Amino acid sequence: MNTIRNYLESMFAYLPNTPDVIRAKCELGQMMEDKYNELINEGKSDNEAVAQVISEFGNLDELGDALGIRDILKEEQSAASHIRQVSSDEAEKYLEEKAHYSLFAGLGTFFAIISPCGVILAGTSGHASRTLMAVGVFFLLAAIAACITLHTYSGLRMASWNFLKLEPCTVDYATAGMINDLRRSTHDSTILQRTVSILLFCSCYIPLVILHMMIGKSSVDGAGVVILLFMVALAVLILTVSGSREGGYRRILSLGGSRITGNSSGKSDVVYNRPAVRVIMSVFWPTVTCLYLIISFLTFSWQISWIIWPIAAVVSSLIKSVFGIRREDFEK
Amino acid sequence: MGISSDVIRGYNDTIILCLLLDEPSYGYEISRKIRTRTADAYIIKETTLYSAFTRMEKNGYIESYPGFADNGKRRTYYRITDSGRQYYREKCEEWQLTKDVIERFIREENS
Repeated sequence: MNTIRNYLESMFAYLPNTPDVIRAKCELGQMMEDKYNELINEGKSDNEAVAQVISEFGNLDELGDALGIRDILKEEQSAASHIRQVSSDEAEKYLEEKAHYSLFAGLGTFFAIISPCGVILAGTSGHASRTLMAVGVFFLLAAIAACITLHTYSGLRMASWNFLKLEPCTVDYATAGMINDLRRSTHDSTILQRTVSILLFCSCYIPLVILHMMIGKSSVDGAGVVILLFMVALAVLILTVSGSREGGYRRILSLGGSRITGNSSGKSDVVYNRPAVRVIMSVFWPTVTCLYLIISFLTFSWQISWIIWPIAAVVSSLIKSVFGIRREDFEK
Repeated sequence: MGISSDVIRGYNDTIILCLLLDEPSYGYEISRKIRTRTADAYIIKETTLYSAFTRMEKNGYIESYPGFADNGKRRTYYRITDSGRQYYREKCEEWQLTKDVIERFIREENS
Protein backbone atom coordinates (compact mmCIF):
# COMPACT_ATOMS: atom_id res chain seq x y z
CA MET A 1 0.00 0.00 0.00
CA ASN A 2 2.90 2.32 0.73
CA THR A 3 4.14 1.87 -2.81
CA ILE A 4 0.79 3.02 -4.14
CA ARG A 5 0.73 6.01 -1.82
CA ASN A 6 4.25 6.98 -2.88
CA TYR A 7 3.31 6.56 -6.51
CA LEU A 8 0.36 8.89 -6.08
CA GLU A 9 2.49 11.37 -4.14
CA SER A 10 5.11 11.45 -6.86
CA MET A 11 2.49 11.88 -9.58
CA PHE A 12 1.07 14.90 -7.80
CA ALA A 13 4.29 16.31 -6.42
CA TYR A 14 4.65 18.90 -9.14
CA LEU A 15 1.09 20.06 -9.51
CA PRO A 16 -0.13 23.32 -8.01
CA ASN A 17 -1.68 23.06 -4.58
CA THR A 18 -5.25 23.99 -5.49
CA PRO A 19 -8.41 22.55 -3.87
CA ASP A 20 -9.21 20.78 -7.15
CA VAL A 21 -5.86 19.05 -7.19
CA ILE A 22 -6.07 18.04 -3.54
CA ARG A 23 -9.57 16.65 -4.07
CA ALA A 24 -8.48 14.67 -7.11
CA LYS A 25 -5.60 13.22 -5.17
CA CYS A 26 -7.88 12.10 -2.32
CA GLU A 27 -10.42 10.58 -4.67
CA LEU A 28 -7.85 8.74 -6.74
CA GLY A 29 -6.17 7.56 -3.54
CA GLN A 30 -9.50 6.19 -2.30
CA MET A 31 -10.15 4.34 -5.53
CA MET A 32 -6.68 2.86 -5.60
CA GLU A 33 -6.93 1.81 -1.99
CA ASP A 34 -10.31 0.15 -2.54
CA LYS A 35 -8.99 -1.67 -5.56
CA TYR A 36 -5.86 -2.75 -3.74
CA ASN A 37 -7.83 -4.09 -0.76
CA GLU A 38 -10.14 -6.07 -2.99
CA LEU A 39 -7.24 -7.56 -4.94
CA ILE A 40 -5.62 -8.60 -1.67
CA ASN A 41 -8.91 -10.15 -0.51
CA GLU A 42 -9.05 -12.06 -3.77
CA GLY A 43 -5.78 -13.65 -2.72
CA LYS A 44 -3.35 -11.69 -4.86
CA SER A 45 0.11 -11.05 -3.49
CA ASP A 46 1.09 -7.56 -2.42
CA ASN A 47 3.35 -7.14 -5.46
CA GLU A 48 0.70 -8.31 -7.91
CA ALA A 49 -1.92 -6.05 -6.39
CA VAL A 50 0.37 -3.00 -6.45
CA ALA A 51 1.40 -3.69 -10.04
CA GLN A 52 -2.19 -4.02 -11.19
CA VAL A 53 -3.39 -0.91 -9.39
CA ILE A 54 -0.57 1.19 -10.80
CA SER A 55 -0.90 -0.18 -14.32
CA GLU A 56 -4.61 0.60 -14.32
CA PHE A 57 -4.22 4.06 -12.85
CA GLY A 58 -4.12 5.85 -16.18
CA ASN A 59 -2.52 9.06 -17.30
CA LEU A 60 -2.35 12.31 -15.39
CA ASP A 61 -2.84 14.24 -18.63
CA GLU A 62 -6.45 13.13 -18.61
CA LEU A 63 -6.98 15.09 -15.44
CA GLY A 64 -6.12 18.41 -17.05
CA ASP A 65 -9.73 19.53 -17.21
CA ALA A 66 -10.71 18.00 -13.92
CA LEU A 67 -7.91 19.78 -12.10
CA GLY A 68 -8.53 23.12 -13.74
CA ILE A 69 -4.94 23.24 -14.91
CA ARG A 70 -5.67 22.55 -18.57
CA ASP A 71 -6.07 26.28 -19.18
CA ILE A 72 -2.72 27.02 -17.66
CA LEU A 73 -1.06 24.31 -19.69
CA LYS A 74 -2.73 25.37 -22.92
CA GLU A 75 -1.89 29.02 -22.42
CA GLU A 76 1.69 28.15 -21.84
CA GLN A 77 1.77 25.98 -24.90
CA SER A 78 0.22 28.50 -27.28
CA ALA A 79 1.92 31.59 -25.90
CA ALA A 80 5.24 29.86 -25.87
CA SER A 81 5.13 27.24 -28.58
CA HIS A 82 8.76 28.06 -29.32
CA ILE A 83 9.72 26.80 -25.90
CA ARG A 84 11.78 23.72 -26.24
CA GLN A 85 10.55 20.69 -24.36
CA VAL A 86 13.42 18.80 -22.76
CA SER A 87 12.55 15.13 -22.65
CA SER A 88 13.44 12.90 -19.74
CA ASP A 89 15.96 11.09 -21.94
CA GLU A 90 17.63 14.37 -22.80
CA ALA A 91 17.64 15.42 -19.17
CA GLU A 92 19.25 12.15 -18.14
CA LYS A 93 21.82 12.40 -20.91
CA TYR A 94 22.61 15.97 -19.90
CA LEU A 95 23.15 14.97 -16.29
CA GLU A 96 25.28 12.01 -17.30
CA GLU A 97 27.49 14.09 -19.60
CA LYS A 98 27.70 16.90 -17.10
CA ALA A 99 28.92 14.47 -14.45
CA HIS A 100 31.35 12.99 -16.92
CA TYR A 101 32.87 16.22 -18.21
CA SER A 102 32.85 17.96 -14.86
CA LEU A 103 35.26 15.22 -13.81
CA PHE A 104 37.48 16.28 -16.74
CA ALA A 105 37.27 19.93 -15.76
CA GLY A 106 37.84 19.02 -12.12
CA LEU A 107 40.95 17.05 -13.05
CA GLY A 108 42.12 20.05 -15.07
CA THR A 109 41.88 22.27 -12.03
CA PHE A 110 43.56 19.54 -9.99
CA PHE A 111 46.57 19.66 -12.31
CA ALA A 112 46.62 23.46 -12.24
CA ILE A 113 46.80 23.47 -8.45
CA ILE A 114 49.54 20.86 -8.20
CA SER A 115 51.50 22.30 -11.15
CA PRO A 116 54.06 24.18 -8.99
CA CYS A 117 54.88 21.03 -6.98
CA GLY A 118 57.86 20.08 -9.15
CA VAL A 119 59.37 23.56 -8.95
CA ILE A 120 58.81 23.73 -5.19
CA LEU A 121 60.46 20.36 -4.62
CA ALA A 122 63.35 21.26 -6.88
CA GLY A 123 63.76 24.67 -5.28
CA THR A 124 63.75 23.40 -1.72
CA SER A 125 65.77 20.25 -2.30
CA GLY A 126 68.93 21.91 -0.99
CA HIS A 127 71.34 21.08 -3.79
CA ALA A 128 70.45 23.51 -6.54
CA SER A 129 70.47 21.17 -9.48
CA ARG A 130 69.65 22.54 -12.91
CA THR A 131 68.30 19.22 -14.08
CA LEU A 132 65.91 18.97 -11.13
CA MET A 133 64.72 22.50 -11.75
CA ALA A 134 64.23 21.76 -15.44
CA VAL A 135 62.15 18.70 -14.55
CA GLY A 136 60.13 20.85 -12.16
CA VAL A 137 59.49 23.51 -14.79
CA PHE A 138 58.62 20.83 -17.31
CA PHE A 139 56.09 19.39 -14.87
CA LEU A 140 54.65 22.87 -14.31
CA LEU A 141 54.18 23.47 -18.02
CA ALA A 142 52.85 19.97 -18.65
CA ALA A 143 50.34 20.29 -15.81
CA ILE A 144 49.14 23.67 -17.09
CA ALA A 145 48.84 22.26 -20.59
CA ALA A 146 46.83 19.33 -19.22
CA CYS A 147 44.63 21.75 -17.33
CA ILE A 148 43.91 23.85 -20.42
CA THR A 149 43.32 20.77 -22.58
CA LEU A 150 40.93 19.16 -20.11
CA HIS A 151 38.99 22.38 -19.57
CA THR A 152 38.74 23.13 -23.28
CA TYR A 153 37.71 19.57 -24.07
CA SER A 154 34.99 19.43 -21.44
CA GLY A 155 33.81 22.91 -22.36
CA LEU A 156 33.54 21.96 -26.03
CA ARG A 157 31.73 18.74 -25.27
CA MET A 158 29.26 20.50 -23.00
CA ALA A 159 28.72 23.29 -25.55
CA SER A 160 26.03 21.18 -27.21
CA TRP A 161 23.95 21.73 -24.07
CA ASN A 162 24.25 25.51 -24.20
CA PHE A 163 20.69 25.72 -25.43
CA LEU A 164 19.59 24.94 -21.88
CA LYS A 165 20.97 28.33 -20.86
CA LEU A 166 20.29 30.32 -24.00
CA GLU A 167 16.91 29.12 -25.24
CA PRO A 168 13.72 29.00 -23.26
CA CYS A 169 13.26 25.36 -22.30
CA THR A 170 10.87 23.48 -20.14
CA VAL A 171 10.47 20.04 -18.65
CA ASP A 172 7.28 18.15 -17.92
CA TYR A 173 6.13 17.13 -14.50
CA ALA A 174 7.23 13.54 -14.83
CA THR A 175 10.79 14.51 -15.78
CA ALA A 176 11.01 17.06 -13.01
CA GLY A 177 9.78 14.42 -10.61
CA MET A 178 12.34 11.93 -11.79
CA ILE A 179 15.17 14.46 -11.51
CA ASN A 180 14.05 15.53 -8.10
CA ASP A 181 14.04 11.91 -6.94
CA LEU A 182 17.55 11.48 -8.34
CA ARG A 183 18.64 14.64 -6.61
CA ARG A 184 17.21 13.47 -3.32
CA SER A 185 18.88 10.09 -3.68
CA THR A 186 22.29 11.74 -4.12
CA HIS A 187 21.67 14.25 -1.35
CA ASP A 188 23.55 12.28 1.30
CA SER A 189 26.58 11.68 -0.86
CA THR A 190 26.64 15.37 -1.84
CA ILE A 191 26.76 16.34 1.83
CA LEU A 192 29.42 13.71 2.50
CA GLN A 193 31.53 15.00 -0.39
CA ARG A 194 31.22 18.57 0.81
CA THR A 195 32.17 17.56 4.33
CA VAL A 196 35.20 15.65 3.11
CA SER A 197 36.38 18.53 0.98
CA ILE A 198 35.91 21.05 3.78
CA LEU A 199 37.84 18.74 6.10
CA LEU A 200 40.61 18.57 3.50
CA PHE A 201 40.66 22.35 3.23
CA CYS A 202 40.76 22.81 6.98
CA SER A 203 43.47 20.23 7.62
CA CYS A 204 45.65 20.87 4.58
CA TYR A 205 48.26 22.87 6.51
CA ILE A 206 48.56 20.28 9.30
CA PRO A 207 51.15 18.02 7.57
CA LEU A 208 53.20 21.11 6.77
CA VAL A 209 53.14 22.31 10.38
CA ILE A 210 53.92 18.86 11.76
CA LEU A 211 56.78 18.29 9.32
CA HIS A 212 58.15 21.74 10.06
CA MET A 213 58.02 21.27 13.81
CA MET A 214 59.44 17.76 13.79
CA ILE A 215 62.19 18.10 11.21
CA GLY A 216 62.37 21.76 10.33
CA LYS A 217 64.47 21.42 7.20
CA SER A 218 63.58 23.48 4.17
CA SER A 219 63.56 20.41 1.94
CA VAL A 220 60.95 18.83 4.19
CA ASP A 221 58.95 22.08 4.21
CA GLY A 222 58.81 21.77 0.43
CA ALA A 223 57.30 18.32 0.79
CA GLY A 224 54.80 19.76 3.28
CA VAL A 225 53.75 22.43 0.78
CA VAL A 226 53.38 19.75 -1.90
CA ILE A 227 51.14 17.71 0.40
CA LEU A 228 49.14 20.88 1.13
CA LEU A 229 48.68 21.54 -2.57
CA PHE A 230 47.60 17.96 -3.19
CA MET A 231 45.02 18.13 -0.42
CA VAL A 232 43.65 21.44 -1.70
CA ALA A 233 43.59 20.07 -5.24
CA LEU A 234 41.72 16.95 -4.10
CA ALA A 235 39.22 19.04 -2.15
CA VAL A 236 38.61 21.28 -5.17
CA LEU A 237 38.16 18.22 -7.39
CA ILE A 238 35.55 16.71 -5.06
CA LEU A 239 33.76 20.06 -4.75
CA THR A 240 33.75 20.57 -8.52
CA VAL A 241 32.29 17.16 -9.23
CA SER A 242 29.61 17.24 -6.54
CA GLY A 243 28.78 20.90 -7.16
CA SER A 244 28.44 20.31 -10.85
CA ARG A 245 26.10 17.36 -10.32
CA GLU A 246 23.93 19.44 -8.00
CA GLY A 247 24.11 22.30 -10.50
CA GLY A 248 22.86 19.99 -13.24
CA TYR A 249 19.84 18.98 -11.16
CA ARG A 250 19.12 22.61 -10.40
CA ARG A 251 19.43 23.59 -14.03
CA ILE A 252 16.92 20.96 -15.14
CA LEU A 253 14.51 21.68 -12.31
CA SER A 254 14.70 25.42 -12.91
CA LEU A 255 13.52 24.81 -16.48
CA GLY A 256 10.17 23.92 -15.03
CA GLY A 257 9.88 27.49 -13.82
CA SER A 258 7.84 28.58 -10.85
CA ARG A 259 5.05 26.11 -11.56
CA ILE A 260 7.23 23.26 -10.41
CA THR A 261 7.31 23.01 -6.67
CA GLY A 262 10.66 21.26 -6.59
CA ASN A 263 12.09 24.49 -7.85
CA SER A 264 10.74 26.68 -5.10
CA SER A 265 12.15 24.38 -2.44
CA GLY A 266 15.49 26.09 -2.86
CA LYS A 267 16.31 29.39 -1.27
CA SER A 268 13.61 31.92 -1.78
CA ASP A 269 14.43 34.60 -4.27
CA VAL A 270 14.18 38.19 -3.26
CA VAL A 271 13.38 40.94 -5.74
CA TYR A 272 13.64 44.67 -5.25
CA ASN A 273 11.12 47.08 -6.60
CA ARG A 274 13.44 50.09 -6.47
CA PRO A 275 15.93 50.12 -9.36
CA ALA A 276 18.64 51.81 -7.27
CA VAL A 277 18.47 49.10 -4.63
CA ARG A 278 18.50 46.44 -7.32
CA VAL A 279 21.69 47.88 -8.81
CA ILE A 280 23.37 48.16 -5.44
CA MET A 281 22.46 44.61 -4.46
CA SER A 282 23.66 43.13 -7.72
CA VAL A 283 27.20 44.41 -7.06
CA PHE A 284 27.05 44.13 -3.28
CA TRP A 285 29.11 41.02 -2.62
CA PRO A 286 31.74 41.60 -5.32
CA THR A 287 32.21 45.13 -3.91
CA VAL A 288 32.55 43.81 -0.39
CA THR A 289 35.12 41.27 -1.57
CA CYS A 290 37.14 43.98 -3.32
CA LEU A 291 36.92 46.24 -0.28
CA TYR A 292 38.09 43.43 1.98
CA LEU A 293 41.06 42.61 -0.23
CA ILE A 294 42.06 46.26 -0.81
CA ILE A 295 41.82 47.22 2.85
CA SER A 296 43.61 44.06 3.96
CA PHE A 297 46.46 44.40 1.50
CA LEU A 298 46.89 48.12 2.07
CA THR A 299 46.85 48.01 5.86
CA PHE A 300 48.03 44.40 6.39
CA SER A 301 45.68 44.20 9.33
CA TRP A 302 44.23 40.81 8.36
CA GLN A 303 43.68 40.03 12.00
CA ILE A 304 40.85 42.59 12.11
CA SER A 305 39.75 43.12 8.51
CA TRP A 306 37.58 39.96 8.58
CA ILE A 307 35.08 42.08 10.53
CA ILE A 308 33.97 43.42 7.12
CA TRP A 309 32.20 40.10 6.39
CA PRO A 310 29.79 39.96 9.34
CA ILE A 311 29.06 43.69 8.92
CA ALA A 312 28.35 43.17 5.21
CA ALA A 313 26.09 40.22 5.99
CA VAL A 314 24.07 42.29 8.45
CA VAL A 315 23.80 45.18 5.99
CA SER A 316 22.69 42.81 3.22
CA SER A 317 20.00 41.21 5.39
CA LEU A 318 18.80 44.67 6.45
CA ILE A 319 18.48 45.81 2.83
CA LYS A 320 16.71 42.56 1.95
CA SER A 321 14.16 42.89 4.72
CA VAL A 322 13.53 46.61 4.19
CA PHE A 323 13.46 46.88 0.39
CA GLY A 324 13.11 43.28 -0.75
CA ILE A 325 9.96 41.43 -1.67
CA ARG A 326 9.88 37.68 -1.84
CA ARG A 327 9.44 36.52 -5.40
CA GLU A 328 6.22 34.62 -4.61
CA ASP A 329 4.54 37.68 -3.10
CA PHE A 330 5.79 39.78 -5.96
CA GLU A 331 4.18 37.52 -8.54
CA LYS A 332 0.87 37.65 -6.75
CA MET B 1 -7.80 -7.57 -29.73
CA GLY B 2 -8.89 -4.90 -27.28
CA ILE B 3 -11.76 -2.49 -27.47
CA SER B 4 -11.35 0.79 -29.29
CA SER B 5 -10.58 3.46 -26.71
CA ASP B 6 -11.55 6.15 -29.24
CA VAL B 7 -15.09 4.86 -29.51
CA ILE B 8 -15.55 4.11 -25.86
CA ARG B 9 -14.30 7.54 -24.80
CA GLY B 10 -17.50 9.13 -26.03
CA TYR B 11 -19.54 6.71 -23.95
CA ASN B 12 -17.77 6.65 -20.60
CA ASP B 13 -20.38 9.09 -19.31
CA THR B 14 -23.18 6.84 -20.54
CA ILE B 15 -21.65 3.81 -18.86
CA ILE B 16 -21.22 5.61 -15.54
CA LEU B 17 -24.70 7.17 -15.63
CA CYS B 18 -26.21 3.77 -16.39
CA LEU B 19 -24.61 2.32 -13.27
CA LEU B 20 -25.90 5.26 -11.20
CA LEU B 21 -29.50 4.96 -12.46
CA ASP B 22 -30.62 2.64 -9.68
CA GLU B 23 -28.51 3.67 -6.73
CA PRO B 24 -25.72 6.06 -5.76
CA SER B 25 -22.25 4.64 -5.87
CA TYR B 26 -18.59 5.50 -5.35
CA GLY B 27 -15.48 5.43 -7.48
CA TYR B 28 -14.14 1.96 -7.03
CA GLU B 29 -17.56 0.29 -7.01
CA ILE B 30 -18.34 1.82 -10.40
CA SER B 31 -14.98 0.74 -11.77
CA ARG B 32 -15.57 -2.80 -10.48
CA LYS B 33 -19.10 -2.98 -11.90
CA ILE B 34 -17.83 -1.89 -15.32
CA ARG B 35 -15.21 -4.58 -15.18
CA THR B 36 -17.49 -7.42 -14.10
CA ARG B 37 -20.35 -6.44 -16.40
CA THR B 38 -18.02 -6.44 -19.41
CA ALA B 39 -16.23 -9.63 -18.24
CA ASP B 40 -12.87 -7.81 -18.02
CA ALA B 41 -13.18 -6.54 -21.61
CA TYR B 42 -13.21 -2.92 -20.45
CA ILE B 43 -11.15 -1.85 -17.47
CA ILE B 44 -11.62 1.85 -16.89
CA LYS B 45 -8.56 3.77 -15.71
CA GLU B 46 -8.84 5.65 -12.43
CA THR B 47 -7.90 8.93 -14.08
CA THR B 48 -10.52 8.43 -16.81
CA LEU B 49 -13.16 7.71 -14.21
CA TYR B 50 -12.25 10.68 -12.09
CA SER B 51 -12.17 13.13 -14.98
CA ALA B 52 -15.61 11.85 -16.06
CA PHE B 53 -16.94 12.43 -12.53
CA THR B 54 -15.71 16.02 -12.37
CA ARG B 55 -16.87 16.81 -15.89
CA MET B 56 -20.36 15.43 -15.30
CA GLU B 57 -20.61 17.11 -11.93
CA LYS B 58 -19.72 20.44 -13.55
CA ASN B 59 -22.42 19.83 -16.17
CA GLY B 60 -24.93 18.98 -13.45
CA TYR B 61 -25.48 15.35 -14.49
CA ILE B 62 -24.34 13.93 -11.17
CA GLU B 63 -23.92 15.18 -7.62
CA SER B 64 -21.31 14.13 -5.12
CA TYR B 65 -21.83 13.83 -1.40
CA PRO B 66 -19.65 12.56 1.40
CA GLY B 67 -20.53 9.15 2.76
CA PHE B 68 -18.94 6.45 4.83
CA ALA B 69 -17.68 3.05 3.85
CA ASP B 70 -18.47 -0.08 5.88
CA ASN B 71 -15.21 0.27 7.71
CA GLY B 72 -16.07 3.85 8.64
CA LYS B 73 -13.75 5.49 6.14
CA ARG B 74 -14.88 8.64 4.40
CA ARG B 75 -15.75 8.18 0.80
CA THR B 76 -17.25 10.34 -1.94
CA TYR B 77 -20.53 9.03 -3.32
CA TYR B 78 -22.12 10.10 -6.57
CA ARG B 79 -25.81 10.17 -7.48
CA ILE B 80 -27.49 10.94 -10.76
CA THR B 81 -29.56 14.12 -11.18
CA ASP B 82 -32.68 14.65 -13.29
CA SER B 83 -30.70 16.38 -15.98
CA GLY B 84 -28.29 13.44 -15.80
CA ARG B 85 -31.17 11.04 -16.53
CA GLN B 86 -32.24 13.28 -19.40
CA TYR B 87 -28.67 13.28 -20.74
CA TYR B 88 -28.47 9.50 -20.37
CA ARG B 89 -31.60 9.04 -22.46
CA GLU B 90 -30.20 11.34 -25.16
CA LYS B 91 -26.93 9.42 -25.21
CA CYS B 92 -28.82 6.13 -25.51
CA GLU B 93 -30.70 7.45 -28.52
CA GLU B 94 -27.49 8.77 -29.98
CA TRP B 95 -25.88 5.36 -29.57
CA GLN B 96 -28.78 3.56 -31.22
CA LEU B 97 -28.44 5.90 -34.16
CA THR B 98 -24.66 5.57 -34.28
CA LYS B 99 -24.87 1.81 -33.98
CA ASP B 100 -27.44 1.60 -36.80
CA VAL B 101 -25.23 3.69 -39.03
CA ILE B 102 -22.05 1.78 -38.34
CA GLU B 103 -23.72 -1.61 -38.61
CA ARG B 104 -24.70 -0.86 -42.15
CA PHE B 105 -21.00 -1.01 -42.94
CA ILE B 106 -20.16 -4.12 -41.01
CA ARG B 107 -20.23 -7.24 -43.13
CA GLU B 108 -18.36 -10.37 -43.97
CA GLU B 109 -16.08 -10.01 -46.91
CA ASN B 110 -17.17 -12.17 -49.83
CA SER B 111 -14.40 -14.48 -50.76
